[in-house]
Amino acid sequence: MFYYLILHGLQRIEGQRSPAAIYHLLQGRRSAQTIQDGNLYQLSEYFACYPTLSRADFNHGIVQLIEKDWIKVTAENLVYLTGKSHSFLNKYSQSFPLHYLHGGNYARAVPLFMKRIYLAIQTYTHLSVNNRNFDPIIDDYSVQNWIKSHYQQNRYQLKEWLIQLYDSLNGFLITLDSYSAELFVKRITAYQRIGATIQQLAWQNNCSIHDIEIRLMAIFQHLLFHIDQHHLELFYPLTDYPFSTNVGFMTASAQKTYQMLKHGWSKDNIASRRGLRPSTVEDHIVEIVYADPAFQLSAFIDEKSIGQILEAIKVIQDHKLSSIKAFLNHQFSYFQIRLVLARYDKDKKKGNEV
Amino acid sequence: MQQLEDILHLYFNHKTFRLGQKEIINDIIEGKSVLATLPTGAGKSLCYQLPALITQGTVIVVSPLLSLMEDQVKQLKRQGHHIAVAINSFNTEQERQMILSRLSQYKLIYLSPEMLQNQVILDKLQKLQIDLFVIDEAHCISQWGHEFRPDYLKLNQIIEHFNKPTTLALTATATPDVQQDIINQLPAVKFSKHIYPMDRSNIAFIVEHLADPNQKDRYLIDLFEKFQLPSLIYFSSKKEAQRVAIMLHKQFLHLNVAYYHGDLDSTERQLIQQQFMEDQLDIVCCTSAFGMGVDKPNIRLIIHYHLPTQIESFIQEIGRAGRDQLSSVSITLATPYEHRLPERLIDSELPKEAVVDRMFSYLSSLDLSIQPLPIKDEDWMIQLQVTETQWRFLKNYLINKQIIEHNQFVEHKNLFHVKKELIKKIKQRNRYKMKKLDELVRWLNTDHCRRDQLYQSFSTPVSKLESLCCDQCGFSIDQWIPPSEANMAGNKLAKESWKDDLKELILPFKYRQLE
Ligand SMILES: [Zn+2]
Repeated sequence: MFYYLILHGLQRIEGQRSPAAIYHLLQGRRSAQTIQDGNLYQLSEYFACYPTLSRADFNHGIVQLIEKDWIKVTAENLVYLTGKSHSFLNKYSQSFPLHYLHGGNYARAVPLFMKRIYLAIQTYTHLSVNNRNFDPIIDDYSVQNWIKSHYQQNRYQLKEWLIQLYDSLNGFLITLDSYSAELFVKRITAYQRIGATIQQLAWQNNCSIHDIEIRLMAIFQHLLFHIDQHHLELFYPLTDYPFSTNVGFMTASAQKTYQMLKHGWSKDNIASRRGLRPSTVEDHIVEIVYADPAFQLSAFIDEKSIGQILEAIKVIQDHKLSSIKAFLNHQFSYFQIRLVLARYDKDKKKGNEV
Repeated sequence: MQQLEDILHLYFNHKTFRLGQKEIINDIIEGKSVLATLPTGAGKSLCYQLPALITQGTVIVVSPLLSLMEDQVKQLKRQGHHIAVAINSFNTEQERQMILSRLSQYKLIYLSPEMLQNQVILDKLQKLQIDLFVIDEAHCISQWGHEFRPDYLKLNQIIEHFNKPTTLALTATATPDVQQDIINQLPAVKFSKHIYPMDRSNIAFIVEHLADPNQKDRYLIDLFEKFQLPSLIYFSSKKEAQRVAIMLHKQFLHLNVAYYHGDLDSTERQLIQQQFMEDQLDIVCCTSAFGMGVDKPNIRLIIHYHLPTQIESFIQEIGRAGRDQLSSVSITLATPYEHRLPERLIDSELPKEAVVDRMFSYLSSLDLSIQPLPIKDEDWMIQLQVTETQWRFLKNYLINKQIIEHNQFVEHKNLFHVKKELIKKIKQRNRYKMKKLDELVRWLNTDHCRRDQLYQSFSTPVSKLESLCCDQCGFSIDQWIPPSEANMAGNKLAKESWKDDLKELILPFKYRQLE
């Protein structure tokens, strides 16, 4: 799944970006560039799906792909896929549950949710049979404190809580492929068994640690999505619910810019007041456009220009900024084009949903 | 007052004390400071946990073993004692604030050595009524010890700062010269000594001489074909631990193998420790990071794939075998080059002469008479290209020589002399460590009883065993009949179908397995 996901990403950015763009995307780097890439190349579902991926491991993967003739990287550091990987992607397009991945907000909610649900299952299954003799598998103090307060609220209906949990999890797991369901269950630590490590799951399934990490992440994102769709309130305290608003999905610095814009500061004033480069503030604004669908572009570009840029994109069928800029005889700045792309992409997505 | 035995039974659910515990606790209650050596697994921690439950004030425990600290806090909680807390670098700032704000509620406060440098924490602690001050792993104060901790040198000053409370210095391994060093380094304390034998008569010793390192894997395969028992294999290298675990996994698909080292994330480490405790794992390939908090009774085999740097560490590691007092075996795999890896480790422990040179020539180029130079640890570590341990060693030395005061470099008249002394000291310590390593290497090659030789330098009694003693006394692994209880992992594996598995896991009160 690891290699499939990388190739899938590389295919989308083929000839336009360097492999590192995919690394930042999988790892979930919170920069304007990465967030924009995710939107431009329709890869935002994969944002932050492997936050613990190290640069070294990713690079190793890329070297493997080059050596085995799956991809070529040009001197300008652009990626091209070989025929071999195109047919691989076609052949296995149904084999990996990429549709379990739902992007930024879900991805960011997973690590905490995972820790809480694992610790809750371990704690409550023990207490349900009056056994206090266990060591928490989650070391994190904040999660341990959380479980203490959660327990205070549920202490008199632990068994009911577990029965409901069982019903909900069972209802969710039967919607998954059986391999994913099995993985989820094997990872659980409960009264009668300590859960499997990532390495053990990899060994049992003849795959890599990366494959397991990504699949578990995908399963958990899908569980969060399922919770959202079916309004499973039992789980709400285990997540930072609601996690589907976007404003939190901005860098802290961009949030500050956002506040200042709302208070009527101009782009240039923000830059000089905060001692930032104007281009940095522009990055923030692009970020804001992605995050806040209602954000007004009128201060930066007029309606007519927006129309021209959209038209150009349609004609040249290319999302590369430099191509768009050249096609329009450099009438518009990169910043303006990025704004339109950010907004246009959002609108298009909305259109899909309806 | 209640009998100690009653308290033991009430709080810890043991009927009798183990060797030495009662004598040590009695002295402490009478306000006498104690230096005690108890073998690993003899229940050292009870010697301060029990007093903590019955005294009015607070017991402070300084311990370098972070995981042990956390484990003990957890263990006490499991037994229903919400009285202990650990202050160490794992705490977030928020947690630390919370702990400090309710410090007086705890009876037992664990501190990691680097917290001894934190004046805010020390001042808060000083306000408490400290009934007992415990120095765990006390051999770390000895510069001759195998795990010297520069932070421990501050202990005497701290004991004075706390108005000289009753002090308990505990260690599992201390030769007479290390014991003397502990006493010398803590002039504020008047110790009475409690020294107990370290020998574990239920552990047999084997050293397997192999012509070259490649044969080690083969040996392990042959061994585990014969014996499938809870085993620990010790390595000095994370990579090798990982490689051998994968090799054994492929070789023995029916056995459950794992590797464990400091680079794994904390959940993975927890899972492995707990699986091993619960008999879900058979073999763990690990570095010395494993085992501190693992009190598994039935570890039958301790294998040293690599050699530690001295006998003390070796004894500590084999001490994890056979805590149930049943027959267990220590096997050390030795090649003619076995000393090389530990030599390299020793060599990298202390800063090199060139580093000391560089640091002093920079210091002497500064004019510190006008203004002292504040110290940023990270900058100096990068500048001198030293590890954290090396830098802390340097820094402590400079503090002792008053070249660093209040975390700033200050003027010093005789830098040249200090430098010469430091270089001499480093050389001396390296020589000492090489000598210690040599002891262990000589132990590999001895033709006397290994048990006798191993404990020789500790001047404590050694058992005379008729059988199951060591390879020199005629024991061989082929004739070993391990204790019959073979609780192997296979029976606890996950169910075939996830649906049944999920039901039984989440609803144990409905689908409890027959036990
Ligand atoms: Zn012998």
